[in-house]
Amino acid sequence: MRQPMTLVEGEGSIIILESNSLVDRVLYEITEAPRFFEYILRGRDPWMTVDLISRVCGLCGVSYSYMAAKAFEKCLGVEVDEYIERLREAMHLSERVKSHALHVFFMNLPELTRSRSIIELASRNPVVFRKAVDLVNHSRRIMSILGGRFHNVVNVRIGGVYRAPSREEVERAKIEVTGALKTALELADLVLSLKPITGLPSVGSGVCIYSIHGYPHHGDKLLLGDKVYELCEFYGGVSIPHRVEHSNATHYRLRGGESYYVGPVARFNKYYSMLRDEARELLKSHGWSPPLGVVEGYVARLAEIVNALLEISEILESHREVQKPSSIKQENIRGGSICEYAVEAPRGVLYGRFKLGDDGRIQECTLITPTAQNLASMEDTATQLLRNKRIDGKAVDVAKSIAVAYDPCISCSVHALRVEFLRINP
Amino acid sequence: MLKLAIVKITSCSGCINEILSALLEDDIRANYTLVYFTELVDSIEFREADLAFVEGSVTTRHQEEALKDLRKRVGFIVATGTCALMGGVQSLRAMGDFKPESRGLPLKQESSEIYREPKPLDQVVKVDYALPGCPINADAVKTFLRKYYLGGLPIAIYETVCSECKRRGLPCVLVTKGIPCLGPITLSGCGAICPSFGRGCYGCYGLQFHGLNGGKVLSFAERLRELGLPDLDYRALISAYSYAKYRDLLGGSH
Repeated sequence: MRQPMTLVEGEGSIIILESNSLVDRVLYEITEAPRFFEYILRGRDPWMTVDLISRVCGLCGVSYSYMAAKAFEKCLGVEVDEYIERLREAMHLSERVKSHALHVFFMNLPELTRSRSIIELASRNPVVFRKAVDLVNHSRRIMSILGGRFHNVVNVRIGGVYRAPSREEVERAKIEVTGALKTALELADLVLSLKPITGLPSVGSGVCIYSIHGYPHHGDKLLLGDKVYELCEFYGGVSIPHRVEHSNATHYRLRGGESYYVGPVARFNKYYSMLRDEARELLKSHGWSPPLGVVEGYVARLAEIVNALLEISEILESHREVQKPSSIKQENIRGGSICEYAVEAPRGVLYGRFKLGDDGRIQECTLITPTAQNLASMEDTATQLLRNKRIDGKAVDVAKSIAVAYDPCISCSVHALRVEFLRINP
Repeated sequence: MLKLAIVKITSCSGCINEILSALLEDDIRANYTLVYFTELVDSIEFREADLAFVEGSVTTRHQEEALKDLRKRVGFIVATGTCALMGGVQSLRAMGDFKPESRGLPLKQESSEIYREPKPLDQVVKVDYALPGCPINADAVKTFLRKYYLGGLPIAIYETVCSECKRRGLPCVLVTKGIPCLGPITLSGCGAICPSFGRGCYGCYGLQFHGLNGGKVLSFAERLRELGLPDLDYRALISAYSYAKYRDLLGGSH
């Protein structure tokens, strides 16, 4: 049985393989036409790359630009002013708020409350709808002040930003952050009282960026279980790319074949203790604590929204006037280096590796997106839950909610799901 | 109530999320009913719609056929974003020796017919209206939806980003700082975001196509070269978001 996925960002289908009228395997087919970004970036200079690469994903473009800028800075030895770096983090965190707010309230909440869409939910509960819209609009204005616009911000560059916000702009941003935080806390009572359609353990291990000082954000080491890996080590042999016949997207599995997942739940389960007190208190008061399963992702997302807003607020408090928003000149780019870095995009670890040629241009580029890394885990989780169950409307609903819970952003990796049943001949 | 469909082909969903922002306005939601929008509505089919926004460029034969079918069922089609208008960033692959089959990607058989060169929407179906931008701007969508409901359309404005800098009183980054800026040849609509951040426009709204010809683009490129951009870069910069239009203006040899 094949059915298009809905309430996800991008195009794909759910395929249910059946054997003797029972579920054998659940697959998520990605039908989104590839755009060949890794090819497009070849021959480009690093400067242009930082802007172009944000077009991989309309929803999390800051993550891409930020990852690329950090990768080039690291391998070219560029120091970034501490406050400017914090500003970029604030830009990146406001994207996390935007993406999570859209997912929790516009895609996941209708599914959790059995509505067809947020529009239907709007007629049933106009107050919740209004608050959700307010939250998204607050994040829109924060991103516009810091980055120029809601999607594809223009203010990330190698060495810093193009322009740091003025005192007046920072004051406006603070008002938006305060408004967003108040709205998020009001919405928390509803969201944290919801239970997922199915309680289930997560299949596979969670992977996130290794962090010493705070909740994971960006870095050059990954944490799997208790073990810390360098990026090149993890993607060079621990995580293995798999090509699967039913999808345009590459899948990733650990060396032993086990699937792994990235994203808010992985971050939350590992780094719960590094969330700010307010965020942890909020969860505790509603009876939530780690570990969460992937289907409880909305809990982790809400915690991350609150945590991110508190952090943005702190960054804005530390405002100072900056004369030189960037520390590098174009001439400093030199060739022959391998530049790699990872950021925690809203959906998880986003890794990029760029090989610069002698002319300082990109010779080779590898991008490993969060959704691509989650696909194997999505399939394993749905399969484990549904194997040998009768194929009916309920099974399809479960397969759909697993997809929604992972928040696949298919446009980037690989985009709504159809459901298809295919009979396996004995 | 007018029936509205939101269709995505090869793109990044950035424009769709700007449309989503527009749909959050109460008066707009009161006048339009969403019959198709897989990101937001758990519904996978629709019979007909009064209006459809199509995001993205056409990159497979399957998409081309689906669009032709869509055209029969939709009264008014809005090409949404620079991808739908001019091919978008994915068109850059057609500049080199790109062959989809040689990329060694795990493509499924039915979708293996991937075009080397992404097509703008108007090469495949009749387009009734165009909203440029990478991404488009939610305010432009709101204006369009409000006017369309009343039976009209927004007034066509044929300007470049330069006009927006002048209106905002921004000093010209090209003239005063020598920063390469595509403002003079790029469609307006963004509000001159990049110049307001002290950087040059990089052309994400696409090439201004009224009154622009190959000769003008080349003499502008000459000015950029004087600013120290090597040859390859000015081509890449000018064509990055609107390769299909660029090639129309300059032909394959440039």
